[in-house]
Amino acid sequence: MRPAVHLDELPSALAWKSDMAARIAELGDTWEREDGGPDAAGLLAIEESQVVPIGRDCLPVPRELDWVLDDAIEAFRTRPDADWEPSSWRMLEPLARGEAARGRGLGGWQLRMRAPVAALREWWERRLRDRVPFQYLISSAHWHTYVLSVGPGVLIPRPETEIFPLLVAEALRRSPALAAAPWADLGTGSGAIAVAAADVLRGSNPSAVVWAVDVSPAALAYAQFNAQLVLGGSPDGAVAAASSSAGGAATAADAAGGRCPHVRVVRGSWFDPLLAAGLRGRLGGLLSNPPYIPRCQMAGLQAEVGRHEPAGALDGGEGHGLDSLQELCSRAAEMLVPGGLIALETAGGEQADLVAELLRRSGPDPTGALSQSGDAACDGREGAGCATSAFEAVEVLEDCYGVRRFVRAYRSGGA
Amino acid sequence: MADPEVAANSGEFQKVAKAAADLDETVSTYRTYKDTEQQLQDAQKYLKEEAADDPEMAEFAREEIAELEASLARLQDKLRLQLVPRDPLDDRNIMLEIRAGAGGDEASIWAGDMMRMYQRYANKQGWKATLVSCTQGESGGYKEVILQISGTSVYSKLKWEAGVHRVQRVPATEAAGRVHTSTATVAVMPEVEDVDVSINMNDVDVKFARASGAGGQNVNKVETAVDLMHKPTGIRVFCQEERTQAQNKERAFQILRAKLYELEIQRQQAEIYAARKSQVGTGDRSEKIKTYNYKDSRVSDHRIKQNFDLNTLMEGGLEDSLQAMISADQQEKLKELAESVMVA
Repeated sequence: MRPAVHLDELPSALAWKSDMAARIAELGDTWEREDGGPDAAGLLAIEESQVVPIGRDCLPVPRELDWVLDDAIEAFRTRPDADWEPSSWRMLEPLARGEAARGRGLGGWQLRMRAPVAALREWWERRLRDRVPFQYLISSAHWHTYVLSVGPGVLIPRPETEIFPLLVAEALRRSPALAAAPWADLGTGSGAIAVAAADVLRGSNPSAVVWAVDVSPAALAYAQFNAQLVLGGSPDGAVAAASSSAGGAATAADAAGGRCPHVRVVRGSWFDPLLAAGLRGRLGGLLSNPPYIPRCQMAGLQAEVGRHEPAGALDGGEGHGLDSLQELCSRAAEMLVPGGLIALETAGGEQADLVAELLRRSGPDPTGALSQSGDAACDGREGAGCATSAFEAVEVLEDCYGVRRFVRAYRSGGA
Repeated sequence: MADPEVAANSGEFQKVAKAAADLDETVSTYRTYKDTEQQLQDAQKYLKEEAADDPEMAEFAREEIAELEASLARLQDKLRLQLVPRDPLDDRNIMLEIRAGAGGDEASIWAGDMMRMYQRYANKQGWKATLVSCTQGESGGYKEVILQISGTSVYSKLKWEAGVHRVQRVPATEAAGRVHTSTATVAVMPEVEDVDVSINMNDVDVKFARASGAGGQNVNKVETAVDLMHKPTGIRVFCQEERTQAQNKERAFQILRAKLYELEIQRQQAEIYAARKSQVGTGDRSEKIKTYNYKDSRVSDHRIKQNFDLNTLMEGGLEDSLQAMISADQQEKLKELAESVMVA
């Protein structure tokens, strides 16, 4: 959190908001028509039913604008000689509007802010002109129960992806012993999945470890930083403990002090660094939100995504966009312990079915590694399933909007 | 408390420790009472048997007897108060819901003014008040707002604010300057512990903000609103204040649990208060409890028929009015206790 050192006038914050709201209203649904981007009544605004008039015109009140004001404002006072009252924007605005409706001026009202209104103007110029994602502007993404540091070069974690910690918890209920094994998040990006998984796992095992793998050095820096931010560093290191941000609170460069003992950040392509670390057949769970957008869709993406987020985190290759998913499925069986979880995010629908099919068709022992190590995955207990697949209970799960998006399965031979 | 199972469960341990501490106080008052009673008897005996012939000593003994009798009476009152059963929910944190009632835009502004009043009171008490959910009014204020208030014994104080608060003033929207009457309804819901309410997940419809095309990596739209519907009661909770789905969902369930719990408490209290024919009463949401008269700068509490200064109250100076309710309630309970003792 940035310190709140800026003094500003309430009317200038209100003016900023209504200027921006007016420009957004002017944009209307042009973005939506162009590329499926946010429309005035959708992303930038509260639901239609919640549209609140400002002044004379009935304009939608942009939610992102409220959020950034919430982040920026720490306290207000009604006169320069009054006491500061700590407040969030959401509590202050209805009060100020009520006062204005009663015909009382807001002239003397002051704000103590973490970033001045002038900075908000500059950010929103970039938001509206260049369609820079909201989360990049404020350098943070609210995701699940965390505030993660994000910036150009790292994929902004999506709400759908919040399902992963639930899948981890379900897997532990199914076989508690999995918490003792190392886990992996492949293509970790901001580290969101690795951090959330580690948070669940450490509830069962104080020395839980999740390996966070990525080829992008930028992503790894963010993942490392986020792990420390959310889970804390090692006991001997200094810990960056801020858990919320106000516009550009934290950058990966700030990541100093002790490394988080629960997330081991490694650079490399998919399984390579894990194999190098001797983790074959030892993983308790394998999680990934790999690039899965079919290449033919890349050019038409929403500008916030296509123009600003790293293509390497999005582009799934030609055809069905299965390049990365295929690679993950082909070697997952040899990496997991019996009963181990594999959970993959996909583009949904047909792609999810194809991935589920890949797992169902995985041979019982694709590399022979398991029989070499004398593993008892095929000891007959799961006879029928085992003869046909290295995985059991393969299913496609719906995301929070009802899209069939996630593929989950367990390595055969578990308890 | 020596039971290792209790000691291992820190929540349970705290509860038992608190109950023991409360009991300790009562026991020590009782011991003092018995001691004082014995001293009084001794003094009376001394006066009768030994000081009878010595006027100076007799005078001294009489003085002592008078003092002892006075402190015995005080101890009796104290003991009675300690024996009045405490509301087991008194220590809980709360969710405080304010809904604008009759009166249109002015009612929303009034709901906003009331929220500020509770916010200021909470600040004075060293409590923490956070906004949980709200629908803004069209000219400021709120159509509906829920605050979460946490601190020491929050429920014991603010439970007395549940009910209808009526305001009489010239609304901002009224050009002619006539006085209007508007209302806001306050509900005070004690924070729910897991054991208090169990929700059958099959009874709840959970909906997230509308699906947005391809979703996933393809889009970056910040839609996190959650809409819950509890089918058996028809309670609907819409949450969009938090920035993530996980948090909005958790908030929505928190509110749903609090509302279900409050329904249950209301039901129980309706029975208790019907039996007691209480004058003071809490929890009946439809009861008009206070009128805020701006012209006379006066707030009347209809339950105890007392007036308070409006500005003091609106600045968060609620303590006196709440203490008045607490002592009215104690008096009533004492009276009942006395009656039940007499019957027994």
